Amino acid sequence: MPSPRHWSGAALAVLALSLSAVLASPALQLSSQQSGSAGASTGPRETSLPPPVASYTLRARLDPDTHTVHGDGTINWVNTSLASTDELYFHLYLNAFASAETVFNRSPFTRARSGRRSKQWGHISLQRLRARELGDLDLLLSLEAHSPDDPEDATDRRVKLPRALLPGESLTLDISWESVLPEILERTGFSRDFYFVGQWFPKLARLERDGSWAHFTFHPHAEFYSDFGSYTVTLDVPEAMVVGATGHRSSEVVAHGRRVVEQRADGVHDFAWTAWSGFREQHERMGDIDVHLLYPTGHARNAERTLETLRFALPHFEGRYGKYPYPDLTVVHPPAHAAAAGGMEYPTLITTGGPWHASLWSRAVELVTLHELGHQWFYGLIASNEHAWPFLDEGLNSYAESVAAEALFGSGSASKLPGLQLSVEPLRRAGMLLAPHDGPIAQPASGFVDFNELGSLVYSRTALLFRTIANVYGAAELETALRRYAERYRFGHPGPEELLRVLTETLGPAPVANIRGALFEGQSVNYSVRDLRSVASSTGAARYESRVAVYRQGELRFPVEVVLLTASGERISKHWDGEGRVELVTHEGPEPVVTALVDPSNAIWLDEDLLDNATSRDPRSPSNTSERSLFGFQWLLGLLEP
Amino acid sequence: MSASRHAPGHGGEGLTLAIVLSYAFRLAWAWLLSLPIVNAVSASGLLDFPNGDSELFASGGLYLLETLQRQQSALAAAVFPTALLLLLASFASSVPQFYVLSALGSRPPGEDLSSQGARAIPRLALLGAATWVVRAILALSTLSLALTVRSYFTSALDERLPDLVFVGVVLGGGALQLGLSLLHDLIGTALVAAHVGLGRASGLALRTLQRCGLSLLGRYAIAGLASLTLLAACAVAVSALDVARTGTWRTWLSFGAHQLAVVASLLLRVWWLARARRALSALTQSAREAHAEAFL
Repeated sequence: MPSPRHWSGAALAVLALSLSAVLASPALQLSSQQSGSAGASTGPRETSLPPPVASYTLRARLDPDTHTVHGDGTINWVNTSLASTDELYFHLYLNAFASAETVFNRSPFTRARSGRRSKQWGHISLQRLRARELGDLDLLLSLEAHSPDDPEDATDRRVKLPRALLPGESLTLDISWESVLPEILERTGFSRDFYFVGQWFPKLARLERDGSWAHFTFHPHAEFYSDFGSYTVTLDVPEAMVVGATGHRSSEVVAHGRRVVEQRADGVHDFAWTAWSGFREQHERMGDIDVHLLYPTGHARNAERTLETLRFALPHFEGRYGKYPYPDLTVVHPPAHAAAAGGMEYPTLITTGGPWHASLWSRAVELVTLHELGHQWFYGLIASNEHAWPFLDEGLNSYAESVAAEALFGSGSASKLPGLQLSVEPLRRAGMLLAPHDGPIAQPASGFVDFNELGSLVYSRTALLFRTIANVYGAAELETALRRYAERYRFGHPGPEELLRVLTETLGPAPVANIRGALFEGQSVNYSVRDLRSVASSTGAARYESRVAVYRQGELRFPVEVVLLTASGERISKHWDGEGRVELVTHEGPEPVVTALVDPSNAIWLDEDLLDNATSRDPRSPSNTSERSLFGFQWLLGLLEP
Repeated sequence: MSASRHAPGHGGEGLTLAIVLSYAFRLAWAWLLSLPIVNAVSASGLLDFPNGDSELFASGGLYLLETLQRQQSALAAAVFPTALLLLLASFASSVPQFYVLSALGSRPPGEDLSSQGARAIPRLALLGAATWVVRAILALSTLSLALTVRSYFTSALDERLPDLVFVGVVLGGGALQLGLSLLHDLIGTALVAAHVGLGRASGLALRTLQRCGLSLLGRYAIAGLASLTLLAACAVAVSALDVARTGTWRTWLSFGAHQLAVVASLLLRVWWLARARRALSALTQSAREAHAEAFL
């Protein structure tokens, strides 16, 4: 809950004024005028998109009484691998929420990313699956469970084909299905009359270039992976509902109490949508991108912060990782009762989140906006396998997010409380230190003990690894490498080796040896200084010989600076290549060395313990701590006098 | 009770001494309470750094979070003893409270300060305990009521409504807590000024409130608001000093500003208690006059 000081009349007045401004905005009036007619379509941007591999033409009707989506349509698929295949794999992700016995729900110790468990189950049932090129063959009969992680799982289904499909051969599948939505959890489902509908249709797994299918069980730690294609989706919802969805709106018709919208998206690998009668809307053109923001009543300030962040972040990310190739971006801020729908990325659609007062006292809204927008590159356009290598999307994106946050807010990028300036990196570091460092970062999502471990290693440690690489080997060089990676593998489904190859080309072998060790072998590093000694020189002159031992524990090897300080404040800087286990750093001068410090600029964010980075023969007194805590307790005692 | 029959009070000198005692009391307890934090920072290794514990206040919070994380077991172990010490200090504060209240007026003839204290201090401590019990019940009731009322508004389309309702109820509870503090101060003042037990002191306090509640509330609010303003001004001033930068003088100036704020808040409290005592005296004076008229 917010403390009363956040509820000043002035703040509420500002909120009220903002809300009035939003209600009166021309953008909103334009939006309401568009209702009932075809929406303005800007068409695709002048940017090349990938050839379609798995394209979907779908029609979906939402029945709010039963929280069910009735769907039908076609899937056009091309075998773009180098091998023929006589099977297809479908992800029926919604079946993860079918009962307490699914892989997703089974363990009482496992919680999904949202930390919630469903109270009302949901599922998807495929009712029609016919292949036109195979003589309208009914493939439903050969649908079978075939999960590599769990034979009983119903989120991963195989279809045996009567004959092999050759490389380059196409298949058109006629489908119909019914999706019963769960109470919202893991970014999909309903909450009261709010709907966020993700992972809702039968989705083909991706056939890799070598002819193997990348299919997997929907695990609570995992996200998704699929092929690019074109989506044309017609959504039929009650008239009062405002709809937001992947792609751009090609038509919108209101008739007979229903609202029917058609969304089109080319060059994307997923489609999600939301519908709710409580949404407020704001639309803004940023460069040549139409941004559509949907948010609940009372969130005008959050909405403004979101738009302001996007105005900075779109050109920021485009400048670093290549052009955003789509004409639209939809941002959804779910209502508080549907918070589990927040903080998620889909192609051209992201969800943010936070209570209505979040922007008054924190940068949570701005940071989640930066993070989810960054996913348009590190997930959306690059399209790595999120299940197999979560660090490729979440880790790299966390690094990209913290660079953007620092560029936008400077120091204190995570909070805006007076007297408490916290930056994103120290918070990530705190997150990194929560889990042991000996597990590899680069492993499938299902390999992590729990989501805390995944968060610590995949989000925090990866971001800090790349921050360390930037500090030690050059931020510009790392940015060049990441840009090359993002451009070379745009729409390319790269794996870790592709990333490492680009990094080696740009940074050289030494940094990449560290990256590889940290990613795959759980390697770490801790620098410390000990045994500072100073003795009068044996020459008899008024000189002192000083020596300190600088240790490197762990397998990672970064060059570091070592600083020696004399009593009069003279600063002597030494360089250590960090190769050995220990380095004896010496100095001879007219004064003894009183303090020694390794990595004084905190370049190595991966350093396991920063507090052993200094040693002094004359430690400072804790005067500031004493002073502050004394004052704090004096006031507290004043308050506690009954 | 008649002022003329009472021994003279401590006068200005006695009051100054009582204020010094109150300040010293808070300083000593605060020093004791701060020891676990100071020890944790001392043991962290941070003092070996050239800037020492100034790093805790540096923008970004790197060393603040690092120290909290590395010393979390030591700090967590100190939570319970610190809470106990705070409770003890709260009761022990009856002693300096007595000296201040006693210095604000006169003593009964033939009774020295120590015998008056021996009678009044346990009563003040009992009053403190009773106040805490009522305070806790009030806080729980407020929270429970706020949550219940909030639940009626959770389906409102405007998400601010349930939170505003919640805060409204909590603010109402807060006002009642302030009223309780005011009543506590009046009873405590009556205990010492009228040399009576808790029951009669409560009656006197309630009658005083009846007679001039609004003006007392105004004075209490002035003292409280002035204290809060001092705290805010102090925070701004110390923030401008930026102890994260080098210079021992910043720490000393910060200490000076903080202690000035503590002393000023103590003086504001004494000012309020003096007003409360005056209101009580006026009540007893008018009661005496009414009694004399009836006798005549």
